[in-house]
Amino acid sequence: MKFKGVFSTVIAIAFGLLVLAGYLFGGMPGGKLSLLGELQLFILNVAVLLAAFAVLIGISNLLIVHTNKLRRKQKGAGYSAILIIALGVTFLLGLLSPFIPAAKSLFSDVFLSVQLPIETSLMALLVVTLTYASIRLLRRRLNLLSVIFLITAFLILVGTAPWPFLGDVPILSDIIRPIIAQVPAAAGARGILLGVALGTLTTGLRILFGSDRPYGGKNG
Amino acid sequence: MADVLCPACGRPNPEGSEECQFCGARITPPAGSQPIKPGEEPIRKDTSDLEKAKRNEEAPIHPGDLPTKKNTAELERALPSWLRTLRDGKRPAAGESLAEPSAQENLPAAPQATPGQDSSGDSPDWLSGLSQAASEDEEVPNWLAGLRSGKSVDSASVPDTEEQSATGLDHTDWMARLGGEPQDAKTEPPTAAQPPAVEQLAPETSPEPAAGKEMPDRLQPLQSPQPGAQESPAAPQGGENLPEWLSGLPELSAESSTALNETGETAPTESTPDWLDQLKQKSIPPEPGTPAGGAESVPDWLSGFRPEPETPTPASGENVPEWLSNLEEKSAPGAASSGGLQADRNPPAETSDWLSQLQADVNAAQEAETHKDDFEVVSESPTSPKETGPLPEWLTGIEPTGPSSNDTPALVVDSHDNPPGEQGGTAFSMETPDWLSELNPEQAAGKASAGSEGEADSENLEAAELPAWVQAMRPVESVVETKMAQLDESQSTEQNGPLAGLRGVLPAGPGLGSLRKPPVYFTKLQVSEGQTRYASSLDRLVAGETQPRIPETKRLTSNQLLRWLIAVLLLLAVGLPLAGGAHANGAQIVPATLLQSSDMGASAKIIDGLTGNVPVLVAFDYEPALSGELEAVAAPLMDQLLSKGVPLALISTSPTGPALAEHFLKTTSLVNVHQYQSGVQYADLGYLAGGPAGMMYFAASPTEAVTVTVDGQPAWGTGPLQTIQNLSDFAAVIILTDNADTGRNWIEQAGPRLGSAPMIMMVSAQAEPMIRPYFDSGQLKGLVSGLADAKIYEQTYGRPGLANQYWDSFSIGMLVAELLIVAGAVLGVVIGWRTRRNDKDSGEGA
Repeated sequence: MKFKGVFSTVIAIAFGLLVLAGYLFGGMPGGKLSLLGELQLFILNVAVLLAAFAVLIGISNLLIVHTNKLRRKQKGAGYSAILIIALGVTFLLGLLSPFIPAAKSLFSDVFLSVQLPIETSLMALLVVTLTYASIRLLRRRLNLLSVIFLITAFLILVGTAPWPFLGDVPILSDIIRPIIAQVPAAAGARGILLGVALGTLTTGLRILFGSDRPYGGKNG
Repeated sequence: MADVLCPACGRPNPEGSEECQFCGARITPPAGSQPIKPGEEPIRKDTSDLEKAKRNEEAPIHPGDLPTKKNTAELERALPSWLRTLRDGKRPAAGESLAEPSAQENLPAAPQATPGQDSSGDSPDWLSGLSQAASEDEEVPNWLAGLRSGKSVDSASVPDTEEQSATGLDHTDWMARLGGEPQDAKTEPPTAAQPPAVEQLAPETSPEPAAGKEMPDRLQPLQSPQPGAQESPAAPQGGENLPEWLSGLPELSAESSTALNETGETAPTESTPDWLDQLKQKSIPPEPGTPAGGAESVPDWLSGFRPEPETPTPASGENVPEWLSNLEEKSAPGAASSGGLQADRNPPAETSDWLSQLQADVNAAQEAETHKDDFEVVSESPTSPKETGPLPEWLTGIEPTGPSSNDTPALVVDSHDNPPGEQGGTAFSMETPDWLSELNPEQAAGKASAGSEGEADSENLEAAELPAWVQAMRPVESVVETKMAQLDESQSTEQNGPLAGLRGVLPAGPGLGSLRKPPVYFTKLQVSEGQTRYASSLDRLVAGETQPRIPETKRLTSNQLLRWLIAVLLLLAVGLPLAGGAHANGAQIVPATLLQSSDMGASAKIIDGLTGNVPVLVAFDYEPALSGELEAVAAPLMDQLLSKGVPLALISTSPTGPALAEHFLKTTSLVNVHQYQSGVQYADLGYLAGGPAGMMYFAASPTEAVTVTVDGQPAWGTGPLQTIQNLSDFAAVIILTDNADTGRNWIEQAGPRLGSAPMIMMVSAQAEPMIRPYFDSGQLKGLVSGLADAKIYEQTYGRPGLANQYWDSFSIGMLVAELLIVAGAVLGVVIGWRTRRNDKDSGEGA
C-alpha cells in the first residue's frame, strides 16, 4: 500500500469515527451541540459542499464529452449539440434567475414545458408497456411464479381502483388488497430494509476498520 | 464362442475353422499329425516319400561338379569362427583352433560338421569354398586332405607306424593308451572274444597322429585305433591346429574303431553329414569279408566303414572317456566277450553331448534292429555271425557297408521297445537341448531312413545343401505324415537362411497367405426394427444439426398492433372521462369509495392539529415523471394545510425539486387557490446537496445547511422561518416522494432530530410497501399513498380535486388494464399449452 492509500485510509477512518462519535455524543442537554457535535456538523458541511461541487464536476464532464463528440462529428453528434445547447441555456437561466425575474420565469417555463411533460409522457408509456408485458407474461414464461405474480398484480389493481358503476369490489378492495399490501408486501419490505440496514452497518464498519476502501487504495 | 488364434498370423478365427481366414494357414493340424509329446510313443511313419519328394525338387550335384555358388551369407553367420577362417584359407593359429571352437561354439552337432569331406559336388555349399581353398593352399593338413580326397588312402600318405608308435607313446592320457592298444593288437591275432567289428578295424585305417604330443586327448582315439592303416586321411599334422569340432572325428573313430575299413573312412552315422556318407560309399568298396552279423547291427552311418577283423580293439585305459564307458555298459554282452578290451576301458571324466547323442542313436538303432522285420533290410553280403562274432552293443546299431544298406528303409523305432525317457533319456539326460533330446529318437529313425534312401540314390544325397546339423534342426520332419506332406506341398520350403529346409514357416509372399479365394462374408448388417428406428432418429438429429436454422420471423406487425391496441384502449379509457367532464358536472361514473385511507386518517388529524404560525417543512423529493400522481396525492392535505395559513419551508434533495415545488404551489388544484407567495408564506430553500449527508446536516442544523432561499434571500431570521433554528422547531415535516429510499433517508437522518414534530409522508403508490413499515413502526405519523388515499381525503374534506378528476379515468383505465391482463393471461396460457402440446406431438412424432 502506497502512502496515498495509507493517507486516504487514515482520513476516512478518522472522519468516520468523528461523525459516529457525533451521532452518539453530539447532543448536550438543552439542545446544544458538543464539540463532537460541532465537529460532526463541520464535516457534514464539507461533505455537502464536496457533493455539490461533484455535481458541477459531473456536469462539466458531460459537457466535455459531448463537445468532443460534436467536434469529432461522431454518430449522434446532433443530439450532443442539442444537449449542449439545452445545458448552456438552462445553466445560464439558472444562474440569472435569482437576479433577473424574467430569467426566473423563463427558467421555470423551460422546466415545466420541456422536462416535466417529457418525463410524464415516458411514465405514461410505461403504463402501456407494463400492460403489454403483463399480457405477454404467460406466453413467454408460463410457470408458477409468473402466475402468482400476475394474480397478485391483478388483485392489487382490482382492489385499488373501484370499478365503474360498481365501486369497490367486495372482498378484494377491503380485505384482500389490504392484506396483500400490509402483510406479505410489508413483510418483504421489512426484510429488505433489515438487509439494507445490516449491509449499511457492515459497510460502515469495514470502512472504519480499513477493510474496505472505496475512496482508493488496494481494495478501492 | 471362443476364437482360435492362428499359429501363423495370430489373429482370431472362429472355432472349428481349419484354415485361417486371414492368412490361409492351417489352424488345426490334420488328423494324425499331432505333435509327439514327451512320454508318448512315437508312431512309425514312412517318410521315404517325403524325402523323395523333397530331393526330387532339387537338382542333384554330381561328384566333380563345381560347387554351386549360392548365397550362404546368412548361413555363414551361424558357422563357427574357426570354420569361417578355414573357408578363408587361413590356417588357424596354434591353439586357436583348439580353444576357440570349444569356447565359442558349443554346438551339439559339431561332430556332424566334421570336415574332411570330399571336395566333390556332394559337399555342402558352405564347405565348397573350404575345399576349393584347401586345394589351392598347400598348408592344408594332411588329415584334411585325406578327408577331402575321399579316395583310397595311399600308403605313402600314411604316416609311419614307427612314428605313430613314437607319437603314441607320448600320449599321456587315456586317449593315448586307447590309441596305443590297437598298435599292439595289430600284431596279435584277434581273439575269439573280441567283437568282429573290432577285429575288422584294420590298422591301416587308423589315422596316425602326426604330433601326438600336441593333439588333444580326445583326438588320440582317432589315430590310435588305426595304427596300421595305410591311409590315414584324418591324421592331423598338428594337434594344435586341430579344432575341437574335429574331436568328434576321433570319437567317431573310437566308437566305430571296429568298423573302420581299410580305406580308413569313417562310417556315416546318423549325425554324420551326407557328404560323409557319400565319401564312404565312394571310397570304400564292399568287401566280401564283412561280417554279416555286424552289417545287420551296424547303422547306416557305420555301414560305410569296412571293419576288419585285424583291427585291434581300442586299448582301454584308466582315462577312458565316459562315452566309452557308456559304450561298454551298453554293450554288456559284448563286453563279456571282448575280454581285455572292455576291461581296460575306464570311464572318462567327461563325455561330450554329441557323443551321448550318438550313443543314444546307436541304441535306438540297436533297438530298431530288434524290429528289423518291419523294414526291408537287404543285406547283400550276409555273413554269419560266427565269422564276425558278437558285436558290442554299441555297435549293434551300426549297419553294414553301403551296398548292403542301400535298400534299408527308414528306421523307425518302435515305441513299445523304446519309450522316451528310457534309453534315450539316459543319453539325453545330459546337457542337450530340449528339442534335441525330444526329437533325437525319431530323428535317428529318420536319419536311418534317410541313410537308406541316400544309399539307394546317392545322387539325391549329394543334392543336399544343408549341413547335417542344420538338417537336424528339422525336428518334426520324420513324424510328419505323408498325407500332411502332400497337403503342405502348397507351402514353400525355405531354400536359404537359417530356416532352409523348413516348410511352411513363412508365408508364400509378403503378407499373403495361400493363393485361394478368400471366404465370402455376409456384409449386410442385421438390425432389428427398433434399432432401425433409433438409427433413423439419430440420422435426423445429425442432419438437423448440419442444416442451418432459419430464425423464426418475428411478428412485428402483430406485436406493434397489439401495443397500439393497448395504447388506444388505455388512452380511450383514460381520456374519455376527462374529455367528458364528468368530474366537473359531479356525475361520477365510478361511485365514491367507501374505504378508508392507508393511515386511517392519521395525516388528516395531524394537519388538523397544526397551528397557523408554526412553519411546516415540506420536502419535494420526487421526479417530474411522477409529479402528476404526487400532486394529486398531496393536494387534499396541502389544501387543508394551506387553508390554515401555515407557513411553509420548501426543500428538496433533487435538483428538480424546487421547480416542482413552485409548480405545485402555483398550478395544482386546491393548492393554487391559496396563492402562497415566496418569501412571505413560504421559503423555498432550494436544493439540498449531499443526499443522506445533506439530510443529516440539514436535520442537525438547518440554518447552517441552507442559508439562503432560491431567490437569494436569507432563509432564516426573517420571513416565515424566523422562529426556526432546529428541525424540531417545525410544526411538522411532510415528505413528498416517489422513491422509497429517499423516504427512508429522511426517516433515518431527520427522524431523530424531529423531536415532537410529526413526520408525514405522501408517497407514490409504488413506494407504499417500502414506507409502510416505518408508518407501522411509528416513525411516520401519517402516510398517504396513491390516488386512492387522495380520493378518500378529498371525500373526507369534501373538496374534490385532482384525485376526483383522475378518479374516473383512473378507475376505467385500471379496469381496461385489468381486462387486458386477464385476456392476455388466458390467451397466453392457451397458446402456451398448444405450443407445448405441439412440441410434445412433434417430439413423439420425431
